[in-house]
Amino acid sequence: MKTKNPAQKIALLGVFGALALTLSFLENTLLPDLPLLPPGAKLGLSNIVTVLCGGLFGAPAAFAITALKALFALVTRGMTAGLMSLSGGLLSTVVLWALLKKIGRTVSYLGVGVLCAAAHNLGQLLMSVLLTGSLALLSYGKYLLLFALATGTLTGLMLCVLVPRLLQTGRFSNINEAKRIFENWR
Amino acid sequence: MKAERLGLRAGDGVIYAVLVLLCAALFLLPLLRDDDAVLTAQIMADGEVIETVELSLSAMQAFEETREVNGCVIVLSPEGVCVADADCPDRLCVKTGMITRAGEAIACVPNRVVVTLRQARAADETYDGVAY
Repeated sequence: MKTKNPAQKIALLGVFGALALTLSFLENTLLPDLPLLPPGAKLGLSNIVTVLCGGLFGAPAAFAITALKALFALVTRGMTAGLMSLSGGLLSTVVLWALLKKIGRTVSYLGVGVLCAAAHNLGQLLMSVLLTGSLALLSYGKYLLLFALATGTLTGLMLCVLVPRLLQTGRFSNINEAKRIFENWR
Repeated sequence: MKAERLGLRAGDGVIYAVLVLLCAALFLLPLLRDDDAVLTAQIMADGEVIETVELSLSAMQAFEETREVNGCVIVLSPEGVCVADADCPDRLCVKTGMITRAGEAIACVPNRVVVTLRQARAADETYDGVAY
């Protein structure tokens, strides 16, 4: 996590944080709840940013983005949305943290994207069980898992295409975490 | 796009296999249940069961009954249950639509309301079964 230039990292994290908030805002306002999908299911576009920050700057940066997203949801959409965002985000970032050292070795961003999406939905499901006090909600799990397979594949593929190109720009070459992934990538 | 260009690894296959199998199992297991069974709707609010209604014409006073719980208007019929209206911000409970199978549930998380369908008894124990 040590960088030669901490100011660069802070600036980049700020940009990525803004990007995550913009994506979740766009997703919530522009994309209506599609029919035939489990209620509350989202594409999770802003999770691309979380996984990307984890890959470029390490797990603490991913946790920071998660906390920022939860705070944004709390302020703009209320308590329930904030808790949902936090629970899903935390569980998914924990999975990312566990797999981070393996990216480029035994897994790629595709597998990580799918597993993070599934963990995100599981976290939200567990939070909704906690908030309502009803275990019956676990029956939603299958729809959420199916949906996570689709959205996780989408975000994972985007990362597979995006990350090598971002690393090739050389802008992240003085960030250790990014350098290691870049070397493992080939 | 080729697998090596995306940088795919063996672990990706393992992750997909586990998640797809888990998903298939979760979808297939409920199909083993009796589809014609008489259902009961259990209404929970703030973590406590406040009412259990048997969803059959013989047990209900009208073809359609409504309950208002914590701002959610719940419509009960022998067909199933839906939330017709709610005062919560996202109204996901309304968008869930009607549930018709045992084990399904509608939740309104902001209002802390959950309606669950359970199997009351097998279909052949109903009045229809002994009518002739």
